[in-house]
Amino acid sequence: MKNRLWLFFALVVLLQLAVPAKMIWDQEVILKEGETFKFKTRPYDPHDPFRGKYVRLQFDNTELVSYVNDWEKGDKAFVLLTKDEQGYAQVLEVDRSPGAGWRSSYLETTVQYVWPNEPYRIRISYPFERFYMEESKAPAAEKYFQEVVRDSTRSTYALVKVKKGEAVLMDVQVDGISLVELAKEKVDSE
Amino acid sequence: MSKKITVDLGELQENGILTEETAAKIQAFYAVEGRSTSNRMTIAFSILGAMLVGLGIILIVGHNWDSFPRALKISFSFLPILIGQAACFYSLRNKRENASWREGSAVFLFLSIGACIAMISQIYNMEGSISSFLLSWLLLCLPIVYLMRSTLASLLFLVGITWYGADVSYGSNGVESWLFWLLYFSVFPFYYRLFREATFSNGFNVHSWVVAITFLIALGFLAVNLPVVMWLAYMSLLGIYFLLGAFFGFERQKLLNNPYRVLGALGTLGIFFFASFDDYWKDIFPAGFSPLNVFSNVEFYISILLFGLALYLLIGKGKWRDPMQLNPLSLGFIIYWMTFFIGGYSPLAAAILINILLLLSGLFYIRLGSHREHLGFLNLGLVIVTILIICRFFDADISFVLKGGLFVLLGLGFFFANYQLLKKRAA
Repeated sequence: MKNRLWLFFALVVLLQLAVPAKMIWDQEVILKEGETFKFKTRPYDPHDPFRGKYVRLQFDNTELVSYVNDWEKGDKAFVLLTKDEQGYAQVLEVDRSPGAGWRSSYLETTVQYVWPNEPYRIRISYPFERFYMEESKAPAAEKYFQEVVRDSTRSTYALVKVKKGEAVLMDVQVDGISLVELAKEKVDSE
Repeated sequence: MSKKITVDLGELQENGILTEETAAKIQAFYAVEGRSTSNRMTIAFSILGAMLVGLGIILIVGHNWDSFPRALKISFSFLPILIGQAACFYSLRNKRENASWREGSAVFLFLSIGACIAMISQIYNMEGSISSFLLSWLLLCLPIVYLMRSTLASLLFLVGITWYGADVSYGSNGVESWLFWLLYFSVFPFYYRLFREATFSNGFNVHSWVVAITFLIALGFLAVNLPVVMWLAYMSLLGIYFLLGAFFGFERQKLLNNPYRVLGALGTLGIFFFASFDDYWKDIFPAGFSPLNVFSNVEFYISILLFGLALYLLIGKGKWRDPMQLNPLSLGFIIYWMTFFIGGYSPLAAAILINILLLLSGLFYIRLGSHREHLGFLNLGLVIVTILIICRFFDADISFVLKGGLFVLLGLGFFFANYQLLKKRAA
């Protein structure tokens, strides 16, 4: 009886360590093996009860027209990605499941909105809309971001690793400089 | 046990007031873990301490130290879990009978697992909804409840899983809602064990409240196709609560320790006051509804199940053989089922039935109050009757003079009844 208890205890302990470890592993694999894409973005509204402050990101190119007809809100939508001449991510195709010829650089997204009389026209949301930041920097970053967005000569984008449907948001940058750095400068200068 | 009691027992025994046997029994009673105040305080403080530290860690994690390298943040995220596991290991090995150790280490481990998952999703900017976050957290914590025999871990689990259920289930009937019920019931064996081994201890009483409240919330998750049928389910559940509160030792408890009786009575009365208006019966049914519609809905079969359980408690265990002893509120769920099927055709008939039951309940409590010389019951009865009359004023076309006169009479009735009871008590 006592041995069984300790065995169970050991199993529970291992499981409690293994599940977070597996979460880390999955993300690391995407970071190591995924392809890097830049997604044009705008930020807004940071908040979360458990995980602290984040900058919420809003992306361009989320309105798509597909061959599939009967989309409903909440459906999964797979998008095949490509890069335009400036290196930004573009959606090449959208479908209910990854197409036969799709290799690695596709992404699983969620259908957010379907146009009422055009069931083939959808708006999707990407699985990386939160960029977590240190609590003192998040508001500064958001303010900074809003100034930058008005300036059309500067470009803001999210740096994302993509591998077979999954993605890890690595950084948010303005003209090649990390938002974390920019926010730090902003906080320091105030 | 406090020193004072030991000394007093000795004296009482010497003076022949207590027999040796009784004194030994009293000593044994106080020796049981959890009875002495100081022990209870230690448990409370260890839980409070572990909770504060655990929640503190979650908040510190929330700060998001983005100047630290990733590898360092990852190793930090495991640190609280490892400490928690070590503390649990130590309590299981060396302090197995010490509730403060068990509860404290269990709560700490529980919270640190949440902190770890939160930290990882933060490091990798993972999108994850609140429900998937809660689910992985709670699944990893479920074994803690049983391993550590921790009351507080079980309570945290119940609250967390209800939150999860609310997030995934309202208005949907996917796999998640079944998973919710499976997980929700997974801590019930622990609640049952508390009932068997630590009947009406603090831990059990708090559990009863949390179970009673979360179950009321969770029943709402089942409203999918035809929400109106959930009135039947809710009335039956409240009937179960009310009857449950009269058995299994609950009847000997203070009301504060009998959440089933309290919620059952208040819930039944509340819904009945709504249902005493005939407008209620005109409004609740969706357009084109016929009572025959209900048979094809899951909600109806859930309601039947709950109705059966309530009926079992009433007839199988109840005092129904002596109609004068029968509390009309115990019959509330049956009356409601009857009126539900009449209400669609004749709102007025349904409302009248409900009014009769409310009036009987009021009179029952007035009688019970004066019989047992209990001011609480007496006034509960008077309040029921008064609210009933006020409600009827809203739909009846009565002149102000008459309304005023009735109110004066009611007020005098209150004074008179209470005065009589106090006089009777004094005599």
